Amino acid sequence: MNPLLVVRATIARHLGTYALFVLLVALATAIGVGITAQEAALRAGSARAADKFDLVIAAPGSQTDVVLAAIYLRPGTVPLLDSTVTGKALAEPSAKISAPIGFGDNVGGAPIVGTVARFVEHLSGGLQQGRVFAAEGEAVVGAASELAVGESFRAEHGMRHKEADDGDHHQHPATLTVVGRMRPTGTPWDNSVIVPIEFVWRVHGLPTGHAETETRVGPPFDPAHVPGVPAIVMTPDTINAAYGLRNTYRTPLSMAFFPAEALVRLYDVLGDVRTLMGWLALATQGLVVVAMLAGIMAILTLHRRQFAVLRALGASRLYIFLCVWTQIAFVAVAGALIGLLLGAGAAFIVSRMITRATGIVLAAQIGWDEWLLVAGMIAFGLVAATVPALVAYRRPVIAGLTSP
Amino acid sequence: MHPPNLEVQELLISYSDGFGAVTALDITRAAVPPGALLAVTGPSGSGKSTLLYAIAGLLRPQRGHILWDGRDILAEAESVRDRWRRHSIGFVFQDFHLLSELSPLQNVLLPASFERFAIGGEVRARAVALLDRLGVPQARRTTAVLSRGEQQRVALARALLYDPPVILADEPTASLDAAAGAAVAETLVRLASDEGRTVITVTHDPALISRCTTRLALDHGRLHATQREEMPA
Repeated sequence: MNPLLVVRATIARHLGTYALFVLLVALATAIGVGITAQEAALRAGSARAADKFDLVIAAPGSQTDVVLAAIYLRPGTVPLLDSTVTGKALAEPSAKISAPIGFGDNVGGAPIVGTVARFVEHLSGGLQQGRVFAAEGEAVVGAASELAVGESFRAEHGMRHKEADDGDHHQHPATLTVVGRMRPTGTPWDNSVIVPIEFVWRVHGLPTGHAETETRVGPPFDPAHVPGVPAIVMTPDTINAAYGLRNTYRTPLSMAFFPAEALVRLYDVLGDVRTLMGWLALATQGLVVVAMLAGIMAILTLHRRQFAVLRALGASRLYIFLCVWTQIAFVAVAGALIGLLLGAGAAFIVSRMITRATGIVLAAQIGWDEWLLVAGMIAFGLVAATVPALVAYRRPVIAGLTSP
Repeated sequence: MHPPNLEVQELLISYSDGFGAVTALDITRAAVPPGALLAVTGPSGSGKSTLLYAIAGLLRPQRGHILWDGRDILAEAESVRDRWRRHSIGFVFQDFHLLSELSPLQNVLLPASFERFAIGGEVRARAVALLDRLGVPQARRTTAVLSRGEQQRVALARALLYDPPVILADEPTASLDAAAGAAVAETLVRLASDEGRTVITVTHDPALISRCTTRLALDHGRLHATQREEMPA
């Protein structure tokens, strides 16, 4: 039994209408696929970007603000950590790395971040070119930075987006020279310029962490000459040490947290939004399928005489059922698969845009959730298709043959 | 070719029009001998097409029997009737009812797509031969580009795909010009006279009526008059 001849003829006769149905199903599917793929990519990308930041110490306030500013390098204001706490944390013996994170300047829109050389190596896993800074006037650039090794520049005061050029480019007098380039990290740090924390402190008129006569950079810092910083990133020796340090620095003057804690809260919100949008997408899909069924029912009403003629020629009721069901199944399957491609394409484009805007590498992928969504759409279409198919199946032949 | 003895017995088909029962067909007895070329005539609404559909087993009457060599086809299961209709009856309609997006050959092969198995080479060869025999240009991608006469010949080829012993035609020449109508009428005559098939045609076409061996006139669903001895009322 092969209903494809009839299906082909019917679709060819109403090609524009069927193309519209396929497009509607495709768009409804694409919305769902795009949302889930994008959300998953955002979650994975942001988690990966925070991977190297084991424990963050900052002034009491919003953990989210600190994560956004110190890890994702988003322009924002965070209070400075008390200088006493800063001095103590930078000398923390149970941390492999205790790195200050200081910012507030930029070059051509790229953030300039002050820290220590060891953290640069930790973040990058070794440089792809040159060496780590060893003096206040030296800088290491992220893998995607437009600055070349050997190039000199002057830092501009303030943080701004590359695109947002307000024309006010107050430059610090000190000159920096790029001495190294990090390996790609897939994080906003790929677009940054990393300098010794001493440089950031000095250009902002603060103590440099060392006695005034000293010109070296990096630890050990002299607690008596350490100013406050927006955040300190610690890599504890052990998991036990991590929890110990988190407890130690949970004081009235400081907060300590694992970035994952803040991200989980963000993901909760993101998850709620995703759930809401997922339901909206599902409702859209349902409405589209119902609209498609109504449209196809109208077309099938036009064809009731044709189906009656097929019965007169010897077709069984099952054949008529299959003719109708296959037409709708074709729309559902074609629409869902095209929707999968459209959704994946949209997620890919949006991911590229987010990556370009934030530096966080997002890799939108079609995973189990997306396939499940497409399979659900197809299954819903196939089940819903049985309704008009049954109507055609049950319609008396004579009613069709004598219809105008 | 073994055309059957067709017999209609105590057939009553009625429907409700909202005010009461309306009799569509009420025939006590009518017989169609094998190989007859029967014209069913009568005014509009007299039950001509209803009789055709009843003979094809498409209607379930209030009472009565359609006997095919003594076998009551209305007593058969629907699936059996479907298969029987496919292989034993060729239907030709006034408006052809072709799938205009398909080629002539695909239209002729349509009944074969109802089968549980794939269309075989033998059936395909027969379809090609039928189109050749009826002079239909096969190179056309769709039947939409064919003349009306050619389209009716494609419909005839479709009706003959399984070499049925009975042809049922509902106003087969009504939509055609005189020349095309005459050609179709000639084909129907030959199917009866040369090949021994039973051809039952509903028609108002005097030229076709004049060539039929038997005539059955209906009025208000009742047998009004017959010609020839083969049709006792």
